[in-house]
Parts: sequence; C-alpha cells; structure tokens
Amino acid sequence: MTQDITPKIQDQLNLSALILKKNHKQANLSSWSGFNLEDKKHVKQAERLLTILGIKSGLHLRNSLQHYESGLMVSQAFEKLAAEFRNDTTETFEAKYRALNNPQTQNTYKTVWKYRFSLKNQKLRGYEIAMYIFQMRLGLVLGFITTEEMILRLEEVNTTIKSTFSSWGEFHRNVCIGDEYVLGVTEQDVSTFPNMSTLWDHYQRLHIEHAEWFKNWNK
Amino acid sequence: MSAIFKTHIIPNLKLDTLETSETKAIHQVLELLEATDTDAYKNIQSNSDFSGITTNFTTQVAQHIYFHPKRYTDTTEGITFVTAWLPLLNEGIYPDEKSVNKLVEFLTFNLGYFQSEAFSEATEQQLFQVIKILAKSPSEAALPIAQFLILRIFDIRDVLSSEYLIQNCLKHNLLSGTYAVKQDDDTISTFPFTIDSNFINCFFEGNWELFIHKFHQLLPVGRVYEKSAYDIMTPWFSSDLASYYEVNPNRALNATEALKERLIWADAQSDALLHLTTAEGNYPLIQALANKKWDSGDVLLFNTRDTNIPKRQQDAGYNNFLEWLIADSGANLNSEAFKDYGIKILSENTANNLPIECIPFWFQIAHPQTGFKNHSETFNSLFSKLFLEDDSFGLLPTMRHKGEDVQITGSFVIRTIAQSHSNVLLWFERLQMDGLKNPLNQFLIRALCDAGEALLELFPAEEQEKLQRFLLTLAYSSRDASAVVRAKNIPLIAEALGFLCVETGNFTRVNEIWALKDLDANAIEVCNQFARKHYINENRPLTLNIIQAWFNYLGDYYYSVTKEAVWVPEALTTQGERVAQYFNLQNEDVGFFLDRLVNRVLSFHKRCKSKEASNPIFKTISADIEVFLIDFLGKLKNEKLHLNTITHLYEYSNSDDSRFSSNDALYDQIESYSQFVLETEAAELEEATEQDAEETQESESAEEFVNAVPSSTIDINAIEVNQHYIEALLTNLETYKTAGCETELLNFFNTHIEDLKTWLSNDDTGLEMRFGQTLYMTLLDVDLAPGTPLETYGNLSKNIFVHLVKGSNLANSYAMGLKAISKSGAYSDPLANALLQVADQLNA
Repeated sequence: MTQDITPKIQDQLNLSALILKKNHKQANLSSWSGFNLEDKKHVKQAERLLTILGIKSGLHLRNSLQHYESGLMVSQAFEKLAAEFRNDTTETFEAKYRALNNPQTQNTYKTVWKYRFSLKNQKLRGYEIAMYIFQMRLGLVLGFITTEEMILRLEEVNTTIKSTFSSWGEFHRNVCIGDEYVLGVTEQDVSTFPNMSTLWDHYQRLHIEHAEWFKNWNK
Repeated sequence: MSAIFKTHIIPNLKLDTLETSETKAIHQVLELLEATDTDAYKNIQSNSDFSGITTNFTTQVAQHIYFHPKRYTDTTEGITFVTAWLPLLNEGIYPDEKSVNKLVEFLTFNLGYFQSEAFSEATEQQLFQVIKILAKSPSEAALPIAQFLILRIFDIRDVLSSEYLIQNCLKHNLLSGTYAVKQDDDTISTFPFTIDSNFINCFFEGNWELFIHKFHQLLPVGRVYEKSAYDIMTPWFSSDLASYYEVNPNRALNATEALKERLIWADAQSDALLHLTTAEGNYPLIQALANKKWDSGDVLLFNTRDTNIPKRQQDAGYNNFLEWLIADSGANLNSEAFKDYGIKILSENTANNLPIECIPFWFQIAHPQTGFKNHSETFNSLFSKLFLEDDSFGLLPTMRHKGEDVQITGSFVIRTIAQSHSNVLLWFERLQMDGLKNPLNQFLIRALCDAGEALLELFPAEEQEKLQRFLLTLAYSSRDASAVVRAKNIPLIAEALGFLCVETGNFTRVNEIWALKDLDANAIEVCNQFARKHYINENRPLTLNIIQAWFNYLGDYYYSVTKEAVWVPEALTTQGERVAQYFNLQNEDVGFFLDRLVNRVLSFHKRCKSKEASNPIFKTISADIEVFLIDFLGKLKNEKLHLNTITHLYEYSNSDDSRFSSNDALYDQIESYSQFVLETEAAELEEATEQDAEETQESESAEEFVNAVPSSTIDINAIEVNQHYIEALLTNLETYKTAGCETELLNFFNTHIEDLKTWLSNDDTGLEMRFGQTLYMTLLDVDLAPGTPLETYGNLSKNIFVHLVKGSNLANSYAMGLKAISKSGAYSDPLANALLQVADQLNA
C-alpha cells in the first residue's frame, strides 16, 4: 500500500533530493521513489544503481541502511583520521601526505584535513543520511521496502539530522563534502560525460527549482 | 431348380448301384433341389419303399451329386454348377473330399477370371457363400477349402490373387473360428484357427520354417490403409508362435524386420504381433529389439510398443534408443524417425520407465561444452517435462537400472558428472551463464538439494565455496526466469545452500543466503530458518559479533513492523540469560558495550511505546524487549554495568515514556540495580570521607614528618626497612607534588622490595592498602609519565606497585581498571602503553 506524501514526509524525503538528482537526473522529487515505475528505463536505472551499491535484496538494503545509520559507512573512518589530524601540525600532516602515493587516499587526506575541526561533531552524518534515504527510495522501486517502513525510518533519521544541522545550507554542504570524500573530486570531464552534471550543478538547480522547499529547516 | 442340375446331372443319375438308404438320400436331395417333377424323382418315388430305412449320405451319393468334372470345363457353367449347390449345402449335405478337390482345382484355375469384370458381384457373392459354407462345415470338405485359401493367400508370387482372396476372406469372414479335419478314423475334429503344431501340420506340411518364412514375406504386403492378410491372421497369433520366436531369436529378428517394412511401407502398426506373449509372459519380439544395434526402423517400431509391457523387457530398448540418438555424432537427431516418432518415446513417457542412463545422456547432449547445439533445446524441454514438471515424485524420480527400480539420488547425479568430467565445478560454470531458465540447472539444483549433507563429502572444501557461489549466482540472476521456475527453485537453492553453508562466522555469506527470501515468497520460510540457525545457535559459543547482530537486526524487525528479521523475537525471548552469562564470563570491561546495547534496546522500546496506539504490533515488540531485559538483567552480575547505564535504566523505567510499569519483575530488577548503585556509592562515600579524614590527619603528620625528616636530610645510608621510613615513603608518595620527589628513598625500597612486602604483610594498620592506592595514583599522574623529567620516580613507583599488588586479590581489578583507562583515550600514547604494560605485568 502506498501512502500519501504529506508535506512532512516530503520535507523528510527532500533530505535525499540532492543525491537523488545526481544519480538520476529525471527524478521526480515529489514522488516516493523519484523513479517512474511505469518506465522500464527508469526501473533499469534503479536496478543498475542498486547493483553498483551491492544491494541485491531487501536484506542487503537493510544492512546497508544499518551501516549508514550507524556511521560505519563513512563517519567512523572520517573521524578516526580527523582525530589523528587534530593532533598534527601542518608540517607533520604534510609529511604524512607526501608519503602517500595513492591519489585517492591523498584526496581523502586533504578533505579530512580541511574539515578536521569544523566537522568534529557533525562528521559526515548529513551525507550518510542523504544516502540512507536515497537507498530507501531505490529499494522501493524493486519492492525491497514498503512506504510504511520508510515512514518509520524517515522519522528517525529526520530527528537525528535536524538536530545535527541547523539549516538546509549547512546540511547540503555536508552532503557535498561527503560525496567528495567518498568519490573524490567530482569535477567531471564534460567532454567525455556530456550529460553529467556535478553535484554543484544540481545543488544550484535544486535551489532554483524548489526554492520554497529549502527555506525552512523544520525541526 | 437350377438348370444345370435339370439338364446335366439329374438325368444322368445312375441309381442302380445305390443302396436303398443311399437312394433315399438322393430322393431327399431331389426334393431339396425342387426336382420333384423330374423323371429321376418320379422314378424313385414310384419304385422305392423307404419305410424303415434311414437316409445315408455316403461318399458315393455325394459324388453322384457333386463330382462332375465335365461341368467345370466351361467356366461359366462350372460356376453355375457350384452355386447351384447352395440349397443342398444349407441343409448340411456336403461334398466328399474328391469332389471338393475337383472344386479346388476349378477355383485355382479360374482365380484370374473371378477378378475380371465379367464376373458379376452377385455371382461372386454366391460363390463365396458356397466356399464359406464348405470351409465352415464339419465335414471332410472343409480342410481342402481352407488349405486352398491359405495356400493362395500365402503365395505372393500371384499377389493379385492373394489380395483378392484376402479381401474376400475378410468380407465373408473366412479363415476364422474353427476348421474341421478328417481324422484317420474318418471322424471329423474341429480345431480353432490358431498357430500351433496342428495348424502347421494341416497347412504347411508340418514345417514351421516354411510357415515363418511365408508369414514374414506376407506381412508387409497389402494395400495402404486397407485391411490385409495381417488382419486375417491376427486372431491366429498364439503363445506357440511366441515360444517359437523365443527359441529362434533369429526368426524373431526377421519378424521385426518384416514388421518394420509393414510399418514403413504399409504404414500399419502390428501391435498384436509385436506384443506376442509367451505363456511365461515374455515378449520375444521386444526381446529381439533389445539385442541389436538399432536403425531408424527400430525406433519407429519401438515407438509403437505397448507401454504396459513389463519394464524389465523394455529397459534394453530404451538403452538402444539412447545409443541410436548419439550414434554418428548425432546424425540421427536430424532424421524424420527421431523428429516424428523417436521423440515420442521420451515425450509420452514418465521418468520412472526410463533407464538411469538418461541422466548422463541429457548432461552430454545439452551441455554447452559437449552437446549438440541445435538439439539441446529439444532435449531440455523433453527432459524438463520428465524430470522437472512431473509432480508424482519428490525431487528426483525412480528410474530403471539393471532391471530394478532405483531411486535417483543427488549423490548419484553428481558422481555421474564426476565420472566423465574431472572438474565438476568447471562443468557447472559453463552452465551458469544460462541462468535458472536452463532446465539442466534446475535439475542440478534438485540434485544438490537432494544430496543434502552428502555435499560436504562430495566436494572438497574449496569447491564447496565455489559451489555456493555458483548457486548464489544462479539465484540472483534469476530475474529473467519465469515466476514458476523461480518459485520452484529458489527454495531449493536456499535449502542446498543451507547444507553447504555450515561454517560459523561468515555472516556475509549467511546474509546473502538469507536474502534469497526476497527473490521468491516460497523461499521465505527456508531462508528464515537458515538465518535463525546461524544467528541463534545454542550449540555454538556466543560472540560479541553475534550479539551485536541481534540488536542491529532489532532495527530491521522494528522498522519493517515484524516482517523482516523474523527470528529477532526468538533471540529476545530466549537468549537473554545466555547473553548475560556471556558477559559475566568476560574478564575485560564490557560496560561500554553493554551501555550501547541497553541504550539501543531502550530506544526501540521507547519507539514501540510511542507507536503502539497506531499499530498493536509494536506492543508485541516492546513486550519481547521487556522479556529480554528481565532475563538479561536478572542474570547479569551487578558490577558489569557502568554507572551511567544503570542510571539510564533507572531513569527510563521511572520516566513517563516507559510504561514498564506493567512489568513488575523488570521494575524490581532495575530497582535492585539502583540499590546496588546506591550501596556502592555509599561505600565509596564512606571511603572517601575516611580518606579525607586520614588525609587531613596525614597532612598534619606529614608536616611533622617533613619537619622531622627533611627531604634533603634523609641519610641514605641510614635508611632501613622500618615503620619510620616506610611511613616517610608513603608520605612522600602522597605529597611529592608539593614536597618534591624523594627518589633516593624510593630507590632504596625498590631494591629492598621483598623486605617491604614482608613488612607490609605483617602490618595490620592498613598501610598495605594505602600503599596500593597511593602508588596507583602515581601511575595515572601525567607528570610522572615516561618522557617527563620525573620519569625515574614514576618508573620506580610503577615497579613497586607491580610487586606489591601482584598476586593479591586486588590485582585483577587494578589490571582491569588500568586497561579501561588506557583505552579511554584520555592519555597520551606513551602513558597509555605504560599502563597497559603494568596491567599485563599484573596479569602475567
């Protein structure tokens, strides 16, 4: 049974708007999943995304949700490194940085170094919860989860996130940082991916198209 | 009266030689012929007195009437003559042997004429009427007629005549029923038309070989789609014939050849002959098919067999069929014989009739590596009907093997593959790409499932791993398979994996298997049972990971409103005491973990409570949680929980949200905890006040002491182990921060550590305890940490601490405290390591 989307639920779903748009440009943000279930291409795209995320079933989905919710997915690793860096001086950090030869790890180090103090409390919770909701919406496409369960889960994470952040801007910034931390700098080469937009593009577009959604940080 | 009798026969009757009784017979004949107005009749009528005389139809009389060879010189006249017999024959007045032989000569000679158009149908009708009456008569006339018919019919040199007679025999129902034979004593015996020694004697000069030879020649002859000699002979088939074939297998082989010809050229089945049965119930012709290498004709013939023939006698046939199929690299698969007929041998059948060899055959013919590409589909659909769509057996059917019904087992199937393929897994992998919709895969799944625990013996460990992945891949790639196939196979895959995945600890794999339940509703039960077995298994030691998993899945259970992780309530309601016991046995400080556990459980309890009005299911979840808490807290040792955890519990149980209130037992439990806390607090408080008091006392005495023994003035050489110096040391340890470090003093006692220990153990003023406490505090002082200027002092005190405390009943608690502190993160690494070292030394 699909339930109606109340303004409150819409507000909760919007926590994943940015990530959803990034992964599925045609997403309809005012629907439960964002995907058009009638459209085979849409379903295929959801299937593809789930495969990339390693989600093959409802159980996989819930395990993944559990990881995001507990911070096991991103925040813990981030915090571990951040805690280490907080004791470092610029020189000791640079020494560590230079000792690395993997560009991806270098990117991680750079990001963590940059936010080691400012995200001490929030860590990358914003990004994690955005992913959490995004994955639920994906799971809905293949019937791994029901809207009933989504409502229960949304409520929980919404409470967490609304008390962790103080505005949409702050939250979305955290999502962007998280995305960058996980995937590396997302400056796509437009020549090879002509249709790809960066997260930043989506961020701007989102705030233009749905300005009214992102004004009030409703606790 | 027929003209021929009137003009030719009656006038020429020579009655002189006849006995009176014979004359009476003639008299009767004439009456029957309605020849009462003839001279002969009148003559007899007037001259004879028949009173007291019995009629006697002797051979002589018969010859008078029937034996007139001259009449046969003209065909038409001959026919008229013969048909004129009818009124007499109807009355049972039959010709003698000699006359009949003449008739047979006439018939033989004119067979051609009978088939011509000049011969009218009405006459033909009459003629055959005569023949019929003669053939069926219980007289000496019968046998020659029957012999004539059989001889002509079996003589296919004149196939037209043969055919003519066959058709008329069928039409007039000749050569059926019985035949009469005149015995040597002139009596007439009748015998049924059936192929036995008497029959052979009468019609084939007693020569079986001759009969069989002609019989086989005749079989395929005849017009298509019309009745033929076979139809006349069908009633003749006997167990004697069957026995003959059984004794002469070569003849049986010839017979099958004849039947094949008949089948191919006349398009006629010969069921009766093919299913000829001996008295013992053997089928000699089916037997003949069993003992030869097949050609297409044999396939056709076998296809017409009666499927009720005892399986034992069909077994070899099926095997020959399979051999025929793969002969010549499968050339026969393209033949019509297979497409139109042979296919039916498999399609209109059930697995329990077929030989076990079908399985390796199918594997060979349909496997992408060894199979015949164009035909694998045909066989897949054939065998899937036999093996997969038949509901009359469980996973695997019984099949035929060495003349017995044998239940196929999964182990057998796997060993079969292993026989021809050194690497079974590689063989599987080739199939894997086809996915679940390939029937071969479905069959394999059944086999694996059937093999059950034997899988662990059939496959070495590393192959079991591969096998698990093979099955999982099949299951997860099954989206394109039909719903029916999924519904049947996903539960089986889950079951097979349940047998394979028995190792503990690999919960990634366990989850992957558990998750199969989402692929098909039929698998839900199997998968949940499987997961339950792994997550809640009392036979295996608990680990922190499993406990953690339970409470992680509590989330799924709650969010899905009890639809997911269905074993969670069982864990909650049965495992509470076990968890408590697990933690009781842990030496390390588990308070942090327990704190998180309790918090998580309480947070879900709280959520359930707040939602239970909207959905009563939440009530059951919170009830289960309460059961867990009662069991768990009831068994857990008081000191395992951190203070803040107890506080949390206490506050929660007393808060408005909680409504544990309904649960008195739980309430009492938590109450007893808080009681424990209060008591410890009180004790600590007491200790603290005591300490304060002592401290003030001491500081006073210390002052004195300092005055008395100024640090700088302690004479190292004068120190000895006595109360004075020991107290001085203790004072210094307590006041080094302000009074400065008496390293020399400390060093002295470090070298005389054994003496100190002995002295303290004899002391009853509690100094030993104070030493322990004081030294413990120095350990935790960052100013004395390694790398600081006061490091030496710290190291010395550490050493003394270890010596004094080690082996005492407090050693354990100190060690645990040190460990906890060193891991708390409050201290720098060097100090934390040092503390850990101390803890290790204490435990050593």
